[in-house]
Amino acid sequence: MEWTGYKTCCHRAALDPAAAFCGDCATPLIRCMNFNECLQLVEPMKPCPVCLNPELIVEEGAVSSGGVGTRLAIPLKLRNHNAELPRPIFLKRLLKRESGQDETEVPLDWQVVEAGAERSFLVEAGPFDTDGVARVELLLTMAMRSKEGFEEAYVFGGSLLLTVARDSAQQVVQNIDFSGAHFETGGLVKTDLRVDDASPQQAQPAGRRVLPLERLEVSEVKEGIRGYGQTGVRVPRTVQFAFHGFPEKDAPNFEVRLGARGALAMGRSGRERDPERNPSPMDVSLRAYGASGALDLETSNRVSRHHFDLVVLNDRLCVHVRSAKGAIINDRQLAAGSVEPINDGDLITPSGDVAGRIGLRAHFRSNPHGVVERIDLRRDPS
Amino acid sequence: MASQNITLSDDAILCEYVQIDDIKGFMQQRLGVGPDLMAMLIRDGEVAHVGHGAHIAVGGFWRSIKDAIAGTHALRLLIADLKPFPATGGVIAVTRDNVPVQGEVTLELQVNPDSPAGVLGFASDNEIVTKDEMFERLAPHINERVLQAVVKKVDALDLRGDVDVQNKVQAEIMTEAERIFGDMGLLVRAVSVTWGFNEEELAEIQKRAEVREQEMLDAKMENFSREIARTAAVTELRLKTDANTEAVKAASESELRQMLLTQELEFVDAKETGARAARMKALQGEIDEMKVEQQAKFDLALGEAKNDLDLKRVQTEIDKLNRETDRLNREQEAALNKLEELTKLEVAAKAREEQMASLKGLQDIDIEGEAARADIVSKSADSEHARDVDRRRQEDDTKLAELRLQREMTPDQLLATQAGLSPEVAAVFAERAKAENQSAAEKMALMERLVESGAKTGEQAKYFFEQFKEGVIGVAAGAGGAEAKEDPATVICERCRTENPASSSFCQSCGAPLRT
Repeated sequence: MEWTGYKTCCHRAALDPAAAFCGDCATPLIRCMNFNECLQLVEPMKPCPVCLNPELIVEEGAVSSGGVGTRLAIPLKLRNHNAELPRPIFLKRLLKRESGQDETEVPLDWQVVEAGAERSFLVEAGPFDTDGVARVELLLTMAMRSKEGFEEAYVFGGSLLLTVARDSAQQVVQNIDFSGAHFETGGLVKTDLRVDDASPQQAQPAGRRVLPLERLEVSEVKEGIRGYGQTGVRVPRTVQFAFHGFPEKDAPNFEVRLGARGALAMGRSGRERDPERNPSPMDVSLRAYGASGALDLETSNRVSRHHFDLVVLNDRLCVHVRSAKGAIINDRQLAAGSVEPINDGDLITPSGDVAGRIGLRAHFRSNPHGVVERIDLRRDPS
Repeated sequence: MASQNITLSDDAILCEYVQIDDIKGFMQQRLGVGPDLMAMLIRDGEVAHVGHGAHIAVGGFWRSIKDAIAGTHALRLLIADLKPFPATGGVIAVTRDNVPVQGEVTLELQVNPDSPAGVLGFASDNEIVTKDEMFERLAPHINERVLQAVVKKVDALDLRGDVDVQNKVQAEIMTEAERIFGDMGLLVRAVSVTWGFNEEELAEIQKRAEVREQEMLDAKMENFSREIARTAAVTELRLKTDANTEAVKAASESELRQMLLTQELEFVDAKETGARAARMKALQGEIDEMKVEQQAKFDLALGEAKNDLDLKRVQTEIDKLNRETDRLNREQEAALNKLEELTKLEVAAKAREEQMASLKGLQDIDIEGEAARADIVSKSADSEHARDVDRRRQEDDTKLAELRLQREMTPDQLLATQAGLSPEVAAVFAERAKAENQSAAEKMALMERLVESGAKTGEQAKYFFEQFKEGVIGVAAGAGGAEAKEDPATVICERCRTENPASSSFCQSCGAPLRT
């Protein structure tokens, strides 16, 4: 289904915490991970415009021009433009790209930019080989976090244009001749005139100015920040899930999307809501059955009522383990509370006690543009 | 033995060949080259000696014998000036604002004394090389590459006095000159560029000169104006008095003040007095002119009169007419006064009459108003009473009609009509309806059969059937005879069985369309 954006009705519908779709237009309601504070709906692969609203500033007095062979240190500031909500921005990595040079990481001694605050850093550029305009591109990996411990990271890019003047300093030698009657007895006294060619205009500092930041989706995938770096595949938050091999009552017989919480709940509990016996129904019930089809209570009880959630974080399908028993992806044990990405073809097992009896295998179905449209969750063994 | 000192033919020459073969004779000659010159002896095409200065012996009898025995040698001597020399030339460039500028480049060059052989790089065979040629060699290389490139970035007015530009030009030219002359054994010691005045600068200078001249003229004008103002501002005061001049002269300051107060003494503003005098003179002139005019007119009129008698008779007639006119005027004035008094009296009487009429009219209006109010009160009471009577009559009629209707109603209908008034009655009715609802379908089928069989008249059967249907539907809808299983405010999604608000078009849980 093509994404058409939110309408007024969607924002009204989102105020109902149980609503996963807009009742008026059927648009999936994807809430920001901090929806309780920012009340923002987000698009399938974009950040929350309120919680992650950075601004890159060139500080007043920064010199943006130099000569060939010189180096420049440019003072910059990262500002968290969101001053209303207590949502900090985490600057996780800062890379610098200069023409003709390798990408280098700018070391930072800080990470958090509180709401409405600014943090300063220096970026060195040069030495410049040729005159003209030199471009220094900055790649900022910034993240926002939720109270549950989820983190969504994005890469933003900003460019600094520096003016490089030709040969800023040359040497002129002035010779004073003291030659006498005998030339060979004469001498030369050399006085060096040092010429500083940096013109006043070039050295003039500029005022404080804002550098426009652009989202760099390609770099996000290439750097492994979002999506699956090896294949370049990305999972949007609107991805659909189809279930195969489940008993009729244990999984929906139609394609579903992430629920109102932004997650698919999986555990031993049933799917029917009962205010007293099952107030928090699961989206998928993970239960064991015998050969005759009868419920294997003993094995089923080894699965927690709400064992794990499937969520989409950083354009990746992830498992969020809620059970104290942990979970297993393929052969890798996950501790309670951990959030791990799931790759195409991975097998998720609730715990070691039910290995071989209850499991889920994920298969991604992506379109030619590398966007996963559907994930088939097959019970293994069925 | 005599020694001949060899120097360059001219100071403008940088290097030249000296034909030693020309210096021959019986006696051997010694040639000396000064230390400020480079001497290069070339024997049979090979450089035999290079140094600062030289002392060479050529010719002579023994040399001739030696040449006769061993053969002759071709000898050439190249001498070059080792002293630094200036090479100057003009250049032209265009500034950023497209103003052509001319400059003079001066290079301080010197044949490298450490490698004088490099002179061969530019020494022409059998020709002299002048110092000026050196700049000509360099000029093509610096004009476009250096001067034009640098000057093109500067405006014409900013070119002069810009140390940065000068430094850049000098450094560039030096780099270029070293590149060109380095291989020729020439050292580049210094470079400088002097710019001539360009059009913009000349225009600016001209403009400044004009401005200065204008400022000077303005200053002069200002001085004159001030002088005039000062002269005008100075008021010459004179003392005018009828008193004894000597006494005034001897008076003290306080006495003079006293005299001023008593107006024995007064200041005379010379300027004002002069102006006043001028005005008086002008007025006097005008008065004199008028006098002359009047006199001329009078003379003319007098001339026109025939004689004094005619004048007297005319004057008498005029006087008579004047008197008659005065009498008529007085009579007319008296008549007018009388008429005015009469008019005032009449107006007063008329006004009094109208006032009386107005008062009477007002009294009539008040009386009519009171009568109307009394009438309205009376009518209002009547109509209220009539409405009250009507309302009571209607209530009685309604009650009567209701009682008549109830008399014809069945017990069920009576219960149904009372259900909305009492919850107990509604509960009773609900239980009754529940019990009867199960057999409703059977009853309906039976009634249909009755209609079809025509046991009674068709119209009567239809009436009963419709009555029955309405009764069942009314009981179910109005009194809750059948229990409502769904909340009418919600609708259940058929796909995921989630309750949704009835206003939703799509399920809020799974997005499926809802049946509305």
